[in-house]
Amino acid sequence: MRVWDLPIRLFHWLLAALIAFSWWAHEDHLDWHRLSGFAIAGLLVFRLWWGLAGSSTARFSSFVKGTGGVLAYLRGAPAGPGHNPLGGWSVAAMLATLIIQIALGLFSVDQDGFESGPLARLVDFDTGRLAAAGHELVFNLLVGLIVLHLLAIGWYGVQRKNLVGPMITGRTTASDGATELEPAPIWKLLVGLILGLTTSGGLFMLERASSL
Amino acid sequence: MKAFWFAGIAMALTATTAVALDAGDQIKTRREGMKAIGGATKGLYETLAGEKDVAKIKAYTARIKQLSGESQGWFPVGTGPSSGIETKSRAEVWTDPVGFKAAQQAFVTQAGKLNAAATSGDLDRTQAEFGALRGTCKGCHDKYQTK
Ligand code: HEM
Ligand code: HEM
Repeated sequence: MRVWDLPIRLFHWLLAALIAFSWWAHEDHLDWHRLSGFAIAGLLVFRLWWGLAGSSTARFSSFVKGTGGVLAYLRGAPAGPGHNPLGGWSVAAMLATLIIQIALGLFSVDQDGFESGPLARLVDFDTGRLAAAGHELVFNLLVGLIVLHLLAIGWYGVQRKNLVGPMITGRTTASDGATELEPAPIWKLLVGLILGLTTSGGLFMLERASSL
Repeated sequence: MKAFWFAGIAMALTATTAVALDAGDQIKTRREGMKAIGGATKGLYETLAGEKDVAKIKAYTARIKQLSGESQGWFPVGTGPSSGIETKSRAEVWTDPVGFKAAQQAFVTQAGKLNAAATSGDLDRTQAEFGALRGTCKGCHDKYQTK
């Protein structure tokens, strides 16, 4: 049965690829690093919208559970399709950390003062360097969360529960929860795409207007 | 005689502490100075990319030129990593003085050219010299600063 809609799967793999790319580009290609960051910002805005208005398994209300739900799951309560209560928090933590990472990047100033984020002109040099230090710190946090994420996937894999396949095909053979995926109407997808593209495009134009 | 030795030791002690305090102060001066240069390059970048206010541009380039000259006094012997005080200067600053002085000189020369271009009012040339200036910051940081 279907578990992840196409927007979530595209979001996921684009995000993973762009994060890897951003990491690679931070050393000697800060211009590409910023562009990749703007794309990630658009993805995140789309994801926030999709978390409110998207298909059932994408919605935050379906996977961000209180401590009660998490404890029950740990004690063996069955979880429906989509993120289990523990995985849901891991997803929320990754998304929140990325939002902070992007926000800090927008204000970051490089040491030589030539390669700043597009909002860095609003702050002085020292504040911009502080943002860059935070940007580095939060990146390490992000890496920690990604490692946990991969370990968890590996752990489920050892238990013969394949999570990677469904994130590619959108389908799972397990019918643990048995509730079908409720897709969101197409107009909501269009709204999300417009929100995301406006964010990326807006940042790109801001960058164009503020660089030599 | 006793008094002589006593005075000698006292003087030696004062001198060592003075040097230690000094190294800390000098490293601080160096870091604050480098930050001031960064503040000026950031300001110049934004002004060139934005409102292109010539008076402001000239003020930034003059400041960079002045600080580039001052920077030649920011690396006295004894202010490296062996001082035990936190610094990102690598020991190579002092073990490769010829290379380091050349890197400093390239910076000073380029800051002069940048200021001359800005003073002439030619913004295209100012921007080109500014681009070259950046190479001199990076050139030195890559070689003589720890990550
Ligand atoms: C709009 C988004 C972003 C902007 C504008 C941005 C901007 C910047 C800037 C200006 C720097 C240079 C800081 C310096 O030289 O000290 C930097 C460094 C860095 N960025 Fe980003 N960034 C963004 C997103 C990201 C994302 C999503 C990641 C995560 C993969 C990331 C990871 C890093 C890392 C690891 C560094 C090096 C930090 C260091 O070692 O100092 N950035 N970024
Ligand atoms: C930079 C690397 C990665 C990041 C930042 C990342 C991030 C995320 C995020 C945010 C989600 C939640 C998606 C949603 O919004 O619903 C997710 C889910 C998932 N990711 Fe990744 N991911 C990365 C790499 C990978 C890789 C390499 C794999 C496979 C080997 C993978 C497999 C999965 C799977 C299977 C899920 C669904 C987990 C579940 O069932 O709860 N991810 N990932």
